[in-house]
Amino acid sequence: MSMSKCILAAQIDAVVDRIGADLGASSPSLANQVVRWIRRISPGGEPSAHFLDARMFPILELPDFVLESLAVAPDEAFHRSLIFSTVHGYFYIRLIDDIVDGDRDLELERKILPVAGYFLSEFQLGYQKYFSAEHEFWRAFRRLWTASAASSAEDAMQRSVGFAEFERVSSRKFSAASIPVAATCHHYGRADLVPAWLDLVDGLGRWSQMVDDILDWHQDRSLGRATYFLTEGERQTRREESLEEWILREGCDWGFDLLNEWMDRLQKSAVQLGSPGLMEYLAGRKAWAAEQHSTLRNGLAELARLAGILGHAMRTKSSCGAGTSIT
Amino acid sequence: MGGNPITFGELINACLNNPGFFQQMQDNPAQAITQAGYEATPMVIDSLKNLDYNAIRRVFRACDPLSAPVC
Repeated sequence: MSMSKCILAAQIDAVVDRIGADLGASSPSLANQVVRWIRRISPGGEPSAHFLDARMFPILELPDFVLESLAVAPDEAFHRSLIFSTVHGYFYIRLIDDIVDGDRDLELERKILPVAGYFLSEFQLGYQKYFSAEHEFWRAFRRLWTASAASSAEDAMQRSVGFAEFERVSSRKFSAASIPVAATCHHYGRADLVPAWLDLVDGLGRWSQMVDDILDWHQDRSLGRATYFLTEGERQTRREESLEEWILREGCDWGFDLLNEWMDRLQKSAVQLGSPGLMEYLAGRKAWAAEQHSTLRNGLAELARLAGILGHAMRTKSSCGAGTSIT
Repeated sequence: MGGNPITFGELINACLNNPGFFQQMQDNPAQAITQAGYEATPMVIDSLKNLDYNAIRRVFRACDPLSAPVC
């Protein structure tokens, strides 16, 4: 792990410790439950690993990318405050999303739901230290926060997702990640850069949502969730072709080609914004996506071969009682 | 041939619900396929031995939301 990632990991751990201490002052048992939930949603039980994972949207890194492009002396206290605020904001959104998605046992989430109010206030208080009530930043805050809430709610209600809905709703679920980005531009007196950086975050949100749509296709389908990838799959499948056959024949390549096209645009924007960290991050995401594409294409082709072998094998029974059944 | 041949979609669904099947298929294809209700002829066993099980396992790892955190 690089030095900057180590520092970030330590800051994330400190925020989680602070959450435990804050809540523990009122209710130690509630604090234990909240910290247990935070660890449960984190790979290996490590909250920092969750935020720094390759598939995680770079909500904590984006302000640093903006800072790099400005060539100014960093205000370390401001950036620590952003991390504190953003981690709380993420837990607020995640807790609500988990309950809305309802895809597993949510007893713990329901029990700690009132803590969402605490997460929200800590998220917002982080900005109140730096921006007066009349500051222009709050207009962006209100617009982006509202868009994030509306998109999450509307996305959960969608029954089919064409490209227009994907653009307008699904990929806008990341709007809240633009808030610390806008705050960074305003804090350093560069409000003029807000539109370009928000466009970049929008594009990255679109790209990230599509990655999720492709890789989570099976789970989304089994839970009856509508996504752009599944909707397009239903539209593009041939007569008597299954969705899985479409993914193997064309869907996997179609999805990853689209990701590549969007990534090329993002990389051009990153050059214009002048952030080497962002360029390096995007290059890493592009390489990661190429690896996932190859993994899916090769693995699905092997599965198709297996289906072919089994399709020609003699069945000894129509259904299996004991032992390992695959049907 | 008894029953209907397994479809590609059914195979993916079944394998996601029982990922251990591939380990058994790799370790002991004859036993795995017999238990799954198929006749383990030498030709079938040979074909199964030539599959790249690691490539299949990688797909399920990539698509497993439990091992891959949400964005």
